[in-house]
Amino acid sequence: MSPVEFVPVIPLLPLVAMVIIFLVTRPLDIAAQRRAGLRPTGVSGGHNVGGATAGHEQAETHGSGADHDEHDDHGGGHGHGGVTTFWGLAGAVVAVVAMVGAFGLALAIFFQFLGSPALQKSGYTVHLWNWFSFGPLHYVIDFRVDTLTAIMLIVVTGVSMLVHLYSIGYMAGDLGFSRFFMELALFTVSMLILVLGANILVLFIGWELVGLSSYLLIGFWFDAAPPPAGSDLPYPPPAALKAFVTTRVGDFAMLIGILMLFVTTGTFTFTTLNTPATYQHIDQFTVTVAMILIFCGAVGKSAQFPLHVWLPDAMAGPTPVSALIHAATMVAAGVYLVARFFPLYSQVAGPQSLEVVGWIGSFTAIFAAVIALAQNDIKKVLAYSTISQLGYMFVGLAVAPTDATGIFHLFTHAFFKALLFLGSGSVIHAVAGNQDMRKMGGLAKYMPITAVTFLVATLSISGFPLFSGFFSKDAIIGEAFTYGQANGNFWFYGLTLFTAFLTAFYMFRLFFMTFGGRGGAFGGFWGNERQYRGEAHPHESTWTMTVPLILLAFPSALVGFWSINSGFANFLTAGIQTYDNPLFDPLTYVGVAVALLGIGLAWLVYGLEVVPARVFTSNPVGRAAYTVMINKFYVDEFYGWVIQYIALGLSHGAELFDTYIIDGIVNGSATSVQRIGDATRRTETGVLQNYGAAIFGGALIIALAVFIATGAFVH
Amino acid sequence: MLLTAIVFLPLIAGVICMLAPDRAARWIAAVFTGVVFLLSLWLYFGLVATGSPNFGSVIAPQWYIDVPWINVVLGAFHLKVDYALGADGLSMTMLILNGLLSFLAVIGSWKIGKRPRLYFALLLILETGVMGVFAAFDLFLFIFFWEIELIPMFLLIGIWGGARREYAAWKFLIYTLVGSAFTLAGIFLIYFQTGGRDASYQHFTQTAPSLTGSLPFFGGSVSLALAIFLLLFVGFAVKIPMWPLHTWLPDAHTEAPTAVSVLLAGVLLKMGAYGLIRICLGFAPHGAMEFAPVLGVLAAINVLWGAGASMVQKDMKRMIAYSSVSHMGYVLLGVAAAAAIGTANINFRQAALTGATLQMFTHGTITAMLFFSVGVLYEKAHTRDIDVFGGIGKRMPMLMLLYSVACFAALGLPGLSGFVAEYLVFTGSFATLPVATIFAAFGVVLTAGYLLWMLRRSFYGPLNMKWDWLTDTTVREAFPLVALGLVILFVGIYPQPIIDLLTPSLQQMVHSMSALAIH
Repeated sequence: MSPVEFVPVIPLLPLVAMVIIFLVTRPLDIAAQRRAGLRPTGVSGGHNVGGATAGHEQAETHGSGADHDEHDDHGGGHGHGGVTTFWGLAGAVVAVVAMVGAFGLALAIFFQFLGSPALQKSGYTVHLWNWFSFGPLHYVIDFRVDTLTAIMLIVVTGVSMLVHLYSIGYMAGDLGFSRFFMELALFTVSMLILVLGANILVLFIGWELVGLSSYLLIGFWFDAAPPPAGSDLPYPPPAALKAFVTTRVGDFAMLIGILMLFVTTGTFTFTTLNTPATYQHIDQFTVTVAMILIFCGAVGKSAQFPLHVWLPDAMAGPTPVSALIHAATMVAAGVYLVARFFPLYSQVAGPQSLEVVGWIGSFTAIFAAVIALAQNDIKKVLAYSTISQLGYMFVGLAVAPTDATGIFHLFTHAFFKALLFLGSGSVIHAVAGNQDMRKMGGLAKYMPITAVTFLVATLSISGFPLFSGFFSKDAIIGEAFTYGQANGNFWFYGLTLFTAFLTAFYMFRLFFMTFGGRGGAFGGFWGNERQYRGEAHPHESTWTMTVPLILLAFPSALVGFWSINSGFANFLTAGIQTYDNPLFDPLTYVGVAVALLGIGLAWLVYGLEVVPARVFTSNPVGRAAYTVMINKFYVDEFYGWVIQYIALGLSHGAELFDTYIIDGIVNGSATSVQRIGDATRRTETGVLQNYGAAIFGGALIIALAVFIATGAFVH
Repeated sequence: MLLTAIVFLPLIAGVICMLAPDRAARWIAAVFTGVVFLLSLWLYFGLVATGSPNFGSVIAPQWYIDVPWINVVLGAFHLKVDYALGADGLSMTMLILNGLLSFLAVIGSWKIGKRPRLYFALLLILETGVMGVFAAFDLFLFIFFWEIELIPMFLLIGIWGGARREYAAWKFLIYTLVGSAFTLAGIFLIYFQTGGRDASYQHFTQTAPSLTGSLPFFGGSVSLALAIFLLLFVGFAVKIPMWPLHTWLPDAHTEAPTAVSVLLAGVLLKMGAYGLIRICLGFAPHGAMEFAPVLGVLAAINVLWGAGASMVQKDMKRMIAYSSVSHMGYVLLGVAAAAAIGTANINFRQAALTGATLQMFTHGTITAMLFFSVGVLYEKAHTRDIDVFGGIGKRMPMLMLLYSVACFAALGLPGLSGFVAEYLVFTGSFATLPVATIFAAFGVVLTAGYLLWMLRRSFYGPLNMKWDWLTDTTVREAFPLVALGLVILFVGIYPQPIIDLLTPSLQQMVHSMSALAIH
């Protein structure tokens, strides 16, 4: 038996963990919380919530404060003051153990693939169960592992495992602790189904289920109070709704694309769909349209323009969720989707389909980077940076001859972006829930592990030479240049190159504003209490949080080296070597120079502070630009207007039509009937025979009238 | 015998209820509906137990019984009605659904205070009527049961309803009555056109599709098949309900007590869909083929219109009522796609029709779960206004979970049964009616919008202290919700058994239609 044969166990492990938490540890956790007076009893039914429980002292003392039963004080530091019960912790440990097992198995499968070129070429399919078949149309639940899936398995299980571990510290004391781990496990199962699906049906199931988990986890603090007016802090309830519905718009288009492929080919299976021979008798235009529609699903899920609006709001979820779902894995599902269909995009569909991918990706990359420049919320900056980096991945898919370029950036990005988010969570935790970077600064001295690991990730995302982001991003920029040479379209190159500059700038702006500042050691890189602008008492986080940071720092720095000699590309494409090694390409120096320029400028402005930040906004043009940027180009306002006036307007119209037109006619004609009815009505006496007679008599008379009118008697 | 027991046991129980003391009525109703539900399950498992089950089709039904009943000859006029009951996959799923929902409706009505004997007796008579509709294998018997069902429903809304109950009850009655008058006319038409000697389903299946010719119609003429189809369809269209004949539904639902809403949406609407598939499609396939493009357009309108109207409702029940309009649109779409003339492969038609039929079953369970959830809330809070709540998820976490499961099932989340049915309908119908399918598929966005927006306004956010005293579901209240949730989950993960059950009868239907298309 080889490891790959056990692949269904990978999603099964978190599924079992989820069920154990749901059925065993969570009920026990809730019972323990009730005994400790942390949560109202619920069954007492009185106004005095929790008051019925004997032996709880502190909950009563702060009156309505006892209502903070799902989380304590969202705005002011998650978890502080609460207690994690034994059973809560037990559930979390079950989940972590399950994830360690899943990651171990994913590694074993990965190394099995690495060692077997034959397996890389053939992949491995496992049939689970049938839904149904109609003649040759099969709806089946199958898993398939190939090189792409093997890599995604590593990313998903690895990051998920570390996020699980991290969350034990981060979510400690939250009354929804057990629920959090349950939903995290649900997400992991869903994401694994997504990457393991052997056909679009299974992929789509996973695709929608990650949407559900994303919804649940964004809305994890579902009872949070709205943030004060004027603050741009995200608010969980509307953010969850927005995330689900916005991605559903993309899913709708994707569904139509799937239907187009299905009715033309009669199959959902990827291996058949990705074989160009399947399309011998099919119009290329149909395939092109279908692939563009399927890409719309990716636009929604990966938060690309114009469906990007949900991701910044999704930061309302707990930060580990932002790291796992909204940075490393789920939002990359769109990239995975395009890569999954790459043979179709590149060989069967017309060139327009990948051009659309490239344009959306490159525009989104620069669009989000520009918005990120003006954000002060640490998580918002990272959210826009995720949107921007996902744009890079799409450009990578659009311009390169294989999917390896885009997927390699997905691979490296998963690590450094997860690290950035977890690091920001560590920071937020340290400064009592504050997310505004204007109230941070100089934190490096307080939390050295977080600061060092964060710096590694920042260097990586900025494309600093030899960090993993350098290898993956500069490869995309290089491929975009090659693409330009071949097609005369240098836009993708120009946009991605300029975005690289912006990325380096806003990421180091973030780093200096958070950890450094003027007067810190190493020219402002390593700040101390003199640069700290907040009021909380920062501290380094507990080991369950710092260990994942350290473990993520290694791949964030090092996995890039896998691309040397096309190692990664060779693996992913099973031997079709693709992109050149950026280390020896002169173009690389352009990318490096641009990145260093961005880092340098950020250093001057925010590290050394020799150039004051207000130079950007002290002139009318800068101010106007800043206003547009801080308002995110007014896209949200535009959508709000469309929903308010067009969607709801039409809905009101439909209802008014029902009330006044249809019912007007009905009531008008019914009034006369009802008058007759009134005369004989015996509602409260309930004499059934009368009704029976009336109903049958009436029906018969009308029936005969219709019958004779249509002349049906005349044969 | 089994079907006779399933049909008439509730009626007997209803009589016993009327004679029993008030306190015993609910127990009698619970026991009898429970027994009937188990018997309805035996329809399925009794065949599965044979090892190689054949679930029957319209020409070879299972559990078949045929006894001559009425035989009147007046000159050329010959009226022959048989007491013919039978079950195939199509009716078996509906019988089981009705058995389940009737039982859960009794459990859900446990606290009914006003005239409980009459209430439970009427619920039981209603069950008899609906069972009869699904089990009848004679067209006159069918319409007999169809009309029987009206009386208890009318009284249940009219007596136990809300403030505007009389208006709602009359509206329901008149709408349905006018609609079924057309259906009755259609039945006479098809009966006399096919010889006027036999009203059995098998007879119509064999003879009716070959009907040709046309009828005079206001100076012009209309093909006989289309005339039969349309006359039969009017009554079913009211019941389904199809736009623009749907406006009785929101009123009836808003006024009806919880359990009655459950039955109304869960099984009564399915009577319309059942009639459409069994009778319109089965006996007037030519007419269905002619009408299919229009039906496809109407289906898309149903989906979008219902979803749009749901979006702006303030009352939870009214919102769910409109969502039923929207979801029944998928049934119409599946049927239209199965009948539409086109070059598409027969398998796509079968997928569409199977999806439509599965949607009947899943919508029955999902919408019942939604109505039960609202019922739990209404019983405590005495209001269903979405906006007066706020953050009540904090006080009712269990209800929030179960209500959310129902909402996600309704919006077609994979893993829950709604997805299977919708996906099946779409994959089938896109082959013959692509444009209608695209419009209808946009319903999935709107459905997510209004359901999650409702949850967000009522359950999410800080607790409105006005509702601080609300308590979570009791075991009795949670029972129907959990039971339905498990059915929804099972069908969502492993739909093969129910599809296998449906396949023989639908295959027969699709094959006979495609044989016609070739001519």
